[in-house]
Amino acid sequence: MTDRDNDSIDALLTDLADGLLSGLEWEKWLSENPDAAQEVAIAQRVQSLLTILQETPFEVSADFEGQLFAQIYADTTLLTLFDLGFEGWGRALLELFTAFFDFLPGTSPTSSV
Amino acid sequence: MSLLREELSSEELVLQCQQTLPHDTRAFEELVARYKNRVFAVAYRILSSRQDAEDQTQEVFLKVYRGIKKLKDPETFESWLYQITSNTCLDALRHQQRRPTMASLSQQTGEGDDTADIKNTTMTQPEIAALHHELRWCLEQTIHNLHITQRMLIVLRDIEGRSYDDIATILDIGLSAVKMRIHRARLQFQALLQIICPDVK
Repeated sequence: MTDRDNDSIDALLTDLADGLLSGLEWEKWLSENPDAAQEVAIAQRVQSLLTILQETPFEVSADFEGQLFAQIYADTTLLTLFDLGFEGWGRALLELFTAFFDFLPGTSPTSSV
Repeated sequence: MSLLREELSSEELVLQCQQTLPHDTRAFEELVARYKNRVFAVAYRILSSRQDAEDQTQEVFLKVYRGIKKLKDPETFESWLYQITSNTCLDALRHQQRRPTMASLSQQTGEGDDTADIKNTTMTQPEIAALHHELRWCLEQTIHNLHITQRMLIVLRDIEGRSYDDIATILDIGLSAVKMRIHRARLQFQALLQIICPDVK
């Protein structure tokens, strides 16, 4: 069996694990291919286990928006100085400045909290 | 009277951003409010550090702010956002050139687990909570130990629930390649889980 065949079969097994392929024909195929059936069962089990992590609550810190918009307003002010008609050049220069200051220790605009 | 921004669809908010930025940021603020925790969740899963995830979430929204006017089809906003998120996190990982330190989110935030809906008549609630917490830790450790590409695929598909078409767009690979890689990532996940937490059956 070639690598290409293996790739196709693996893609097929994902469809089977996700229920995108189903029916008697595929059940028969799986019963005739126990290794494939075992892999489908593993994939389904992993999917099922990972649903637990979907419930995890994630929240950014309370001042997330404050920091973000401080950066955005700084960005916008600089761009205005560069004239919006030359926004591309302004942005390129701004990114050059940002990269330069990022290079210096302890001056990253995204650090803190 | 215009519609309240909370009632607008994301596509409508994107259109508003394209018309009103940089002078009026209210539509963009609503987009940030709507997506910040989802972007943060993906970044955290990939980077395994709360601080790094929050820094990169900031970076993602800066990129969105700078690029949203050029987004041709507002309907593709979510895919575009996930694409920026995955690329930004990958760049951050490359920049770090190190394995991030893993710690559970609940340990870092001091938040407890939501296990109130678990029913088991033979165990006390604290026992169930402890088991649930341990299982969550096992799963997080296993994700952390996957190769970055596999981690990304597992996060996008099995945790974030993105479609295969969407993932193909986000990662800029073919649909068949996405399915093939996700299958292998799941098998690898199971193999790692058995090493990290052999008791998880």
